[in-house]
Amino acid sequence: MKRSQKALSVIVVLAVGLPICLLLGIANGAVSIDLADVVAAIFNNLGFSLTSTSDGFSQNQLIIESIRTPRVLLASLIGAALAVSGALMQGLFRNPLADPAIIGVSSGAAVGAASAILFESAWPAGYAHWATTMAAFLGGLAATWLVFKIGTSPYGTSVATMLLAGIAINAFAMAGIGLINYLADDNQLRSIIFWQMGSLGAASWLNVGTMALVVAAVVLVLPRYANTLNALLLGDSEARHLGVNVDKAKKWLIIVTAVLVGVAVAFAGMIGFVGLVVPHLIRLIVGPDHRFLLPAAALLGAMLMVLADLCARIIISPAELPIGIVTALIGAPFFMFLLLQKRQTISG
Amino acid sequence: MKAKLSALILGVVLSTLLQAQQRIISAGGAMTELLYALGVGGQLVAVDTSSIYPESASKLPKIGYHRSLSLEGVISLKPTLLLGSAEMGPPNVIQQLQSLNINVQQLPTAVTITALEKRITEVAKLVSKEPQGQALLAGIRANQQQLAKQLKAVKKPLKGVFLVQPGGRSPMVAGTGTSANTLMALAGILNPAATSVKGYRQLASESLIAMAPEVIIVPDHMFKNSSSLATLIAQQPGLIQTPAAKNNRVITVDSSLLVGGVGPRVVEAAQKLAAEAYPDLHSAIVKVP
Repeated sequence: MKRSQKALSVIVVLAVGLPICLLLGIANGAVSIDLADVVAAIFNNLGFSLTSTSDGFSQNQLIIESIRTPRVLLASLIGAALAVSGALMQGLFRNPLADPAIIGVSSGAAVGAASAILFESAWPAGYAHWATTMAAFLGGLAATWLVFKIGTSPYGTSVATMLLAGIAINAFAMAGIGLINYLADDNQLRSIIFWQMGSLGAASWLNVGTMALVVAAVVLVLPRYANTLNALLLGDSEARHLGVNVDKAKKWLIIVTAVLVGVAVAFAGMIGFVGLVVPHLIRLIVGPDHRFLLPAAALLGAMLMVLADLCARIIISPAELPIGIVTALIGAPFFMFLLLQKRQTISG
Repeated sequence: MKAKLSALILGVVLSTLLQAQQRIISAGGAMTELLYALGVGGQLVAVDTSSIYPESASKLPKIGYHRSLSLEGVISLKPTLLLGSAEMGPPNVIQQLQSLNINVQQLPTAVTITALEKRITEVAKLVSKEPQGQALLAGIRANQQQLAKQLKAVKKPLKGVFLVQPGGRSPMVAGTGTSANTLMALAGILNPAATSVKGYRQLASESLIAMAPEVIIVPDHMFKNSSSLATLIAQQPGLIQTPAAKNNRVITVDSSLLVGGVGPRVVEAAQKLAAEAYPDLHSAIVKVP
């Protein structure tokens, strides 16, 4: 029982930390805004009317209202989505190396986005952006569906076959991207490359709303699967003995992951590392029980993404770093350090 | 009379003051170059990473690559005008900037002289430098006509290929729709790649041999980075079979010329290229002021 108490306290700490990170993200950026203005703008939006006397407050309010707040919220939702998806995949595949990319969703989305960019002149002006987002989402779903179909036979769904199918689909998708890169002109090529590095620059309240709906739906569904995932950790047949409908569970877990990651990738491009590392970090702290692992991973994923995006926005301001680079640059050394620290406990 | 004069002076002073308050961000090397040519370089507050000419442009703050602008980064510079190519983006950032009452102007990238002329006219209007724009246009047209006249003396135009070499890999050849192609056409050099290649493409050695270029043109940064014709040949074996390589005829052009479409210096560059390609005409062409 000691472990679950520790897990709960970790979740509480994270739940307190997240709003602080959100505020940090809203308060900082390329345009420097007084903290008083930030607070006033936030209160104004919450329905209280606080006016600031400083010049240019209306523009600052606009920046906070229509640029930073949606961006920070989108970052947190995407961070949570990626981290939870990673936890689901690691649970489903019973493999700590699994991340959402394993079921092809990321590379499928990349093919979709790249082909939309290649044919961007075919879309009516102003819709190219939406075409890219939609194509990424559909590409991600299509690749996942293929992986799932290949992994499923009349005898059930085999995660081992799915893993191999995922490798094949990823390789095929990479070839597809290579071909598109070859056909693309200079400008398109750079767009595709930038898309693949990820960015939250496209954040709008519409994106935030959509992402929030998806995440909320998953939050409602997931608690049911926490115990299922715990049972699956024992193995398929053991899980069946515990009364779990294994094939149905696998199917739903794949669908949830594909939708979560599909929407996240469609809105922000490829952001690696979060889905792989956050569940690991959490597992090192709270243990493998998915009842605690999933919410804690969601909170930490959200926090890390908000902080990473903040770095991306301010490090080389007025320009901006792609977020995928930041998550990997900051996350990887930290993760290595942690692994070195915990080496003995993990192997022991 | 006195009142009129002082009103005029006041007007001039006011309008210069107003113009001095323009805060322009330029996204795209050719655009930046054009703004300097129109004499508004001093009003630039930032440029994108492709703006490497003139020297003073590269000292300005950088807003990143023009297709991935940072919304807040641009706002933080308080621009009154953001000038860029049609590819400038991402689209939602452009829309947001417009909704914040920043004047965002996207002009098609010019890869032909006609498009360049149109671009000069439009940009000159946007920055209220119409007379300077007219003068620039007149200079470009005069030089172009003069060069065309001088090139009439060429009996047999040379065949040439323009090669760029990305990161030590096998070179890419410039086809239609590239500023290099325009440059070659202006300089009276035939581009055999233009019939089959659009944009920049890697070419099979055999096609390169079949094209039989008599001159190879490369951007000068390629040879500055300790590369040479020998390394170029090593990466594209077919090159050695071409008349150009056999006669060691390689001409370099200023790399900064070709970034983001053709800029105002393109005709001058074409004169230089023509003078090197046609040594007989050299003295006639270099006389050009």
